[in-house]
Amino acid sequence: MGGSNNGSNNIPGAVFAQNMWQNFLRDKQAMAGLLIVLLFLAVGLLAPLIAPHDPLQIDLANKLLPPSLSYPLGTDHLGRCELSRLIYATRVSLSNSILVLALILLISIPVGSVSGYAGGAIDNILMRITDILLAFPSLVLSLAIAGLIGPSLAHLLIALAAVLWAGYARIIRGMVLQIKEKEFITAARASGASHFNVVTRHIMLHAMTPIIALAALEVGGIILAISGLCFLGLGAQPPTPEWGVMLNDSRPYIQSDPNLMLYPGLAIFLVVGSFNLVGEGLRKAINPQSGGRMADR
Amino acid sequence: MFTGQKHLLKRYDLTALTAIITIILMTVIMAGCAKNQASKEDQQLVVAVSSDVGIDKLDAGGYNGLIQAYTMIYDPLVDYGERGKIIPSLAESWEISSDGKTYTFHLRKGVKFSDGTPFDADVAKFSIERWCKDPANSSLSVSKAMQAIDVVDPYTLKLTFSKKYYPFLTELTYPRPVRIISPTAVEPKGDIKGKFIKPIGTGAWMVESYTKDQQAVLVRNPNYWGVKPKLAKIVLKVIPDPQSRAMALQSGEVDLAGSEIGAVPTQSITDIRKEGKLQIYTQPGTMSYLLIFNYNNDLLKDLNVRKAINMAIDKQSMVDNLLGGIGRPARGLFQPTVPYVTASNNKGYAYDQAAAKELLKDSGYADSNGDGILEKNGKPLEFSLVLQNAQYPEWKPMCEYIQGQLKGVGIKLDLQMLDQNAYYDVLWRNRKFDLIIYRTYTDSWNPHGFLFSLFHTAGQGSGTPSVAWSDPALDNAIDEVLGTMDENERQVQYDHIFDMMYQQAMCAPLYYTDEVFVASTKVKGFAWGFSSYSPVKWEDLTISQ
Repeated sequence: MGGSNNGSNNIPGAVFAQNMWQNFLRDKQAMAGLLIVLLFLAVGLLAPLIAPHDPLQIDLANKLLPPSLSYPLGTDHLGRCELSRLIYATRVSLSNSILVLALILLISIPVGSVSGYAGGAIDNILMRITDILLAFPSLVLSLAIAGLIGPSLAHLLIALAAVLWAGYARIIRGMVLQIKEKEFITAARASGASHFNVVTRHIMLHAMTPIIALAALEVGGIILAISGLCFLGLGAQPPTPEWGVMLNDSRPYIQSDPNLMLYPGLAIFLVVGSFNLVGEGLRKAINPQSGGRMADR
Repeated sequence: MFTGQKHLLKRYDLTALTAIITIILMTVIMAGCAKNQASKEDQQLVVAVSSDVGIDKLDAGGYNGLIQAYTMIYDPLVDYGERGKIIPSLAESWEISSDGKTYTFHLRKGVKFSDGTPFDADVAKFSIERWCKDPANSSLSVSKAMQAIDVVDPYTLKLTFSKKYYPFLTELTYPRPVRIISPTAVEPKGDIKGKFIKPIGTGAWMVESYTKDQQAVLVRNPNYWGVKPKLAKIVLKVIPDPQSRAMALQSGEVDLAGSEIGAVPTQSITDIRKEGKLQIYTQPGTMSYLLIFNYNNDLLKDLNVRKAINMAIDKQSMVDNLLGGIGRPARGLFQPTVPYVTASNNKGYAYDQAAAKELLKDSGYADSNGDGILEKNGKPLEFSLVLQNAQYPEWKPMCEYIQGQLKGVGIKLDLQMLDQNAYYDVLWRNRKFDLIIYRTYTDSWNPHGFLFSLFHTAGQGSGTPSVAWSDPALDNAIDEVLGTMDENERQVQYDHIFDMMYQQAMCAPLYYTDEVFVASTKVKGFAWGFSSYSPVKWEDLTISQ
């Protein structure tokens, strides 16, 4: 699986990384994506400063207002400022997807590297576990887990991480398998480095850059998964603003106020699209010859 | 060779053209025929329903399938009239013995089932024996307390019960499982343990065809004893999503939708009203929405807290702004459409946030850390509120609104939106809630059935804790009224029960629902039925072209 045609084959780590960043910075689409991602990140970080209203302030007298100076995007069915909710939702979506990503890496890096480095029975057992997880459609499985442990945002993040780590573990294992055959690893072993040291110091150092690229590729997917599960009512509990929840809330008003569905939909589209552009750019940068297919995901 | 091919091509062209013309002509002719038929004898109405009609398991003695289909196909001995008045159906008259335990029914003569099987006391006995004493029906007193079913003569049936219980007759009007089914509906024929094979009743309608999860076609029962329906056919078309039902109405795909049988979302009704192309029928329903308090929660044991929650919610604004002006703000638990609810006993707490704050202050609550939430002994006044929005989509905005309102008096609510199954698990079994939004039962289950089931300690069977309230005084009052045969005495007792519930603020009633139907302009003769189980007088409806 993954990593077998990795462009880093014969290039020392530092040089490879430098080449990669240069390739990446020259990619116009990826730069456009990055710009939008950074914009959303800024909006999320500065939410309390730029939101015109309290996103939780209910005011039934001002419900379903059209856009105005005071409410730039109008108000929702409970009279809450739509723009403020969108802004705060950015914060929720981005921070949580990054959290999920961190959780995924926290599980998949140890599992993948142990599996790849140790090989044999340990490898076999760990990979069969990932096989089981990969055999199910990830969204359906996380839906089931989130449903089982009860609806809350924290549970949703756990459910997503518990399902999505398997794919990463596989890819990381592939990378480790490849790197561990290199001469410098043999050299390190010969000069007396412990197994632990070899994995953390030598192998991981070289695997880090492709892992980061891989992660960027996936953020879009995670944001979409969070919004999707929140849309189904499994994640953020009211009154927390979240794009998927906002989309679901405005469903009844699709005939009278279709713009209420449009805004969160557009936000999801833009962020997920931009993250995909960035990820695509990174992927191309890592592996310029093949024009893609760094991994099978 | 080239020319030969061309010829071939031409021949094919000609054949194809002839075929197409023939098909078009036939379609036109057939469409014309269909239209001609529809004009007079073959009037049909398409009704959107929310769930599978389940004709293949629509056993009069069971609980499967669309509840409103039971009342169309099967008749009861006695039926539910306006505001719970018991009216004759298959029994023309009845007498109750002075001890209130023996009921003698005089059955209608000359009634035949839709397949021609005659109806008499033996058939009624067969039908009753099928559900009577079944543990699945233990919540029905008419089943649990039944002692003897005697055929006195071919048209007289005597039922003997082990106790006095005023709603026996009301229970006999239920849509299921008490209605009368033909002995030919089971295999082997006439065996009370027999397997249900087809829905044969004495009702106005009978089944013509059925496709699971798609539709059921009902036609006039030629043997019906009452006034025959004007329509020849009713198509019950399954459309599970409320939004889609609204769109099906707007596109003309269905002629009628609404009520419990296939509710149309509140917001869609507002849109449809604005558009003005469809007819909207509204009448007060018999259902209320309420917040149930967990009687085991220490903070909620404080009467002042319960009262404060009642007072903190602006129910009028909820109706006007969230629910499109449909329905009414609640006062007492039950709507005035429910039997025994009167203008004087239907009391609720008026919206008054200042008074609510005062009550909480009297109970020793104060905001000591300035976060806007009140505390006592370091414990914040915070509750979970469990809800679902699959069956009642309006519960979510309502609960969000309530969350905002309670925050105004210093009470913090944490909303927990669960899927439908998990929600009912919490409500009926694991009781992991502080507050939970629920609704009363409707029609013939009100008020006695809902009160007993949720507010009586024995309501969920022995060993299971009661749902909404647990108080020996209320238990006694409910027991007493259920055994009272005198109408006026019952009124006095219900006045007392409703007053207790008000004084103790045993729950927070929120909203009285409306029944709403939306119909295309073709539908004429619309009249409301007496319960949401037979929501429309189907037999009066006609279609104009």
